[in-house]
Amino acid sequence: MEVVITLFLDGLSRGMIYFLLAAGLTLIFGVLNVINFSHGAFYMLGVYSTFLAVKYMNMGLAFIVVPIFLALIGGVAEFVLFRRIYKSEHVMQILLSLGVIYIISDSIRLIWGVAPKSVTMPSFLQGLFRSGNLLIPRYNLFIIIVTLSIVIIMFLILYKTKTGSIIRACTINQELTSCAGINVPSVFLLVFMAGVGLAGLAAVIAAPVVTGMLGMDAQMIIIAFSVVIIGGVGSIAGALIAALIIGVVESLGILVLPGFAETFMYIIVVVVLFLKPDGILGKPMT
Amino acid sequence: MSKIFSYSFTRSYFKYVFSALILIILILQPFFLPPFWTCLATEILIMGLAGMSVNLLLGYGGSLPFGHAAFYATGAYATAILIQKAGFHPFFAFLCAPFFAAIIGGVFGLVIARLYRFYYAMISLAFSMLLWTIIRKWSSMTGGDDGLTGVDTIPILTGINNSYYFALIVVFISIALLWIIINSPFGWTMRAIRENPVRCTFTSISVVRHRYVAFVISAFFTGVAGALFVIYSHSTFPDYAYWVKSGDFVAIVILGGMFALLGPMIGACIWILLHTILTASTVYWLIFMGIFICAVVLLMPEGVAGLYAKIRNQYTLKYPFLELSGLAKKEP
Repeated sequence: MEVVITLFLDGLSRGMIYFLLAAGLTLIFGVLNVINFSHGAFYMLGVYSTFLAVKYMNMGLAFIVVPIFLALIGGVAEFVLFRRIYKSEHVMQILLSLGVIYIISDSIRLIWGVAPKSVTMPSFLQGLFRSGNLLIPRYNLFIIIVTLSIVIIMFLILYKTKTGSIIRACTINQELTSCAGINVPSVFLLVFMAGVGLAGLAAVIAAPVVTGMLGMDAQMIIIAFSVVIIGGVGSIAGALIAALIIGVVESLGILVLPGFAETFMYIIVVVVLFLKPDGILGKPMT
Repeated sequence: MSKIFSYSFTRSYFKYVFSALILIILILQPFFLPPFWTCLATEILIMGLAGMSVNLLLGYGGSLPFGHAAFYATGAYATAILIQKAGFHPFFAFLCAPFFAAIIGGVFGLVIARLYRFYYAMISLAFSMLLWTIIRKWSSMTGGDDGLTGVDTIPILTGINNSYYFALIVVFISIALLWIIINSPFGWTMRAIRENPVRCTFTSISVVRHRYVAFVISAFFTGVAGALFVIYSHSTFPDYAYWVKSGDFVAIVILGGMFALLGPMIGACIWILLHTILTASTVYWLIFMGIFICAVVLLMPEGVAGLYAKIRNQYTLKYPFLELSGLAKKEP
């Protein structure tokens, strides 16, 4: 029984990381209507940058530096590349992001080499919580707490500030918003940077528990897109629910059928797309 | 006599002369060029065939097929497994394998054909990744992560030249079949569905059923390409089902032009040549490949064939949505 609870919490924390990744993706997709396959590549860049940041500074600074760095790179990518394909067919968007994936992943190979990189966990977060027979890694609780606070901050920004309402207005009707005097392209730039910054946050949080390998980007983007689809495009709450479901299923799947964890995820995606193609909470920006 | 060499004659028959020339070059090429080029040509032919079957759905059907690596892998693995584990004669295995791919396409298509646009792409992606995980886990049958190697090939086809001619013949027949399908009433219905699916539903054309049949046909021909690849390379690996391979197929379709029948073949030519040149020049060739893809999407979204049509000022019925290349947004 304790094993189940530990695995459940492990699944929750895994799901939280997936949520952070997918939140950026669903933000970008919901507001800008751009399919960004390269989100996983940005995440990989974030993990490798965390490795670099932890080498020269400590983990706490990495929490601030890496997302900002990633947001800057995302801003450059948006300005140079993605800006031109907002109005293009989905095919072109997918292809462009594929090109960006190639560029980013090979640049990572150029800079960091092929050896897997890992980040050591800060010492005060290592160790387990003991509660009777229950053993919970402290880092899992840390992930859950941090992600929940990020969720609350995002919710506050989106619904209680003027910037948030501008972003929501851009999602609903872009042309009317620009008629109201708002500089829509710069809002898009901001949203793109925020999305990629979220991926950076996900990368920093995940870095101690994940090894940085080449090929991680292709793997993560599938998970991120599955979360976005199951939760509904543009819906952050849906992404949260979907990410937690996927994380828990993946974790408990090890108990049920080891080695087939990924299969469960794809089956869920297929079932959801068959029954309710818009996702669980599929509506723009609930 | 002088009429044959007059300007108007050559201009009007330029198309036929050019294609005859290409055909002669293709047939005689192994005698002039070193075997390396024959290998390349075989790979180009196979990838071009896969691209053309994807183009059946992408350019002529207006969908966004992003999971065809699954059928490529099914064709490849079916051939390899039938030859190695079931002891079929290789030629017979080669004939049966595309039908396996078509069956898998029939199963997947039941779910996929109902969706549109982005969801179509995502669910075909999910299915192809599902197949990938199954291929990797079912090691007893598929060799797992290592794949299957040392697959026997058809006995008369020893040597690269014979494999090349076999591929050439098979691809030629497939192109002819595809041409018949595309120019049949079914093909024109697919084009109508691409342009305006809602209106087609109102004219009592069953959009879902047409998409489903096109999906199965496309899966069949992609399976042919996969089976051909095993005959040529004697091995198969799970990466043939990975989504990046589907991305490669879509890339060569866009690169070559998605409205021309032979567009993907041109795209495959450029892609594989570029790949070969880049891998020979630098270790970090993926960066340049990525820059190239970005450049194509931003500067030449209608592909080589579209560019050619633009140069020749041929905005005919054959290329109806050239103006959509990067400009108008399509609604689902």
